[in-house]
Order: sequence, then structure tokens, then C-alpha cells
Amino acid sequence: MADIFKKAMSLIIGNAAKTERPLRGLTERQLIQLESDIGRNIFGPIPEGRRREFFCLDDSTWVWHEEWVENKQSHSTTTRYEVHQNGILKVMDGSNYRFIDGEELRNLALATKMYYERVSRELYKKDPHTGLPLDQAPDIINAA
Amino acid sequence: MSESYQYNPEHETAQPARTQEQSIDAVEAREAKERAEQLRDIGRYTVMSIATRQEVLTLSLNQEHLRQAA
Repeated sequence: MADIFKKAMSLIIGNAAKTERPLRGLTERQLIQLESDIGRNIFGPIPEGRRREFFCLDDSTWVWHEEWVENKQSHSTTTRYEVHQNGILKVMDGSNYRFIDGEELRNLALATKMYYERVSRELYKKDPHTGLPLDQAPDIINAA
Repeated sequence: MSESYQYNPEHETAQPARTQEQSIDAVEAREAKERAEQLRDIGRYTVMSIATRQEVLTLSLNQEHLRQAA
């Protein structure tokens, strides 16, 4: 009886768990992979034969990973950007590290901003500025 | 007989002491101005770098929050 009632309610009001938090069942790793599907395209089209990943690993680390084949040999490089108190540290392949500045710092800031805005809208369906679900966010009034 | 002018190339380059002082002052003033501009640029650049770092940190925290709330 209870099952029938549940089914009837879900037909009337829908399944709240599925409609409000459709990503709930995914692991953090799966979410990162979905984010990276968006992140990898921020920098434009990926050349054929290349694999690229760009994602936010945690609350202070961003990762860029690139794989490609050259002369029948596979290559890969992983760059980690760590936000520290005194700057942003670029760690390449785990060993080569330095603080970034100038154009490189500006480019990273731009990439992270685009990532956040796109991932927020396209994956989590939230307004990146207010944090509200997109269907609840106020419409932009066009003054023109 | 009128005194004829004899060309002396040293006259072309030799400058009175007063003019030399003035040009040294001008060079020093220009260098001081350049140093001031460089320091101002460094200051402006440092402020910009701090702001950019803060921006990236805020975005990272927001991103993590989005993921945790999913």
C-alpha cells in the first residue's frame, strides 16, 4: 500500500531526490571527471591525438593534465597550481616548482573563473553569482 | 688684416662647466623619475598579484562548496 502511495505521489510531484539533486549519487571523483569534461574545453579545441584534463582538485589546488603521442611515443605532463598564502605555486610533474606571476597568473585566474562559471551553470545548474538554482535565480533585466 | 677663423673640432664638443652641471642634473632627475616609476609599477603589480591570488582562492573555495553541495 505504501509503495502504491509513493508511486502515486511521485507521479504527481515528481521524485524530489532525482529532480533537486540529480548528482547526489555520484562520487567526488565522478564529479571531478564531469567538471573536467567542461574544463578541458575552456582553452579551445583540443588537437587530434591529445587528451586534456583541467579541473579543481580541492579548495586550493587546480590540475592541468595533457597527454599526446609523438613519434609513436606517448608523452604526458601534469601541472598542479597550488594556492598558498604568498602566491600560487606551479608544480610541474611533481618536481619543478615556482610561483607564477604576470601573464601566466592572469591566464590562470581567467581560466578558473571561466571554469567556475561554466561548471556552476552547466553541471550543477546554479547561478555562479548568487549560488541559487538556475530556475530560482532572478532574471537579468535588460535596461536597453 | 682681419682675424681669420680657424676651425677647431674640440670647440664642437667642449661645453662650459655650467652646461655640464645642468646635463648631469637632468640625467639624475630622469633616473630618479624612472626609479620612482619602476617602484610604482612594482607596487601596483604586487597589489594586482595579491588580488589575483585572492580571486583564484575564492573561486577554488566556491568550486569545492558547489561540489560538496551536489
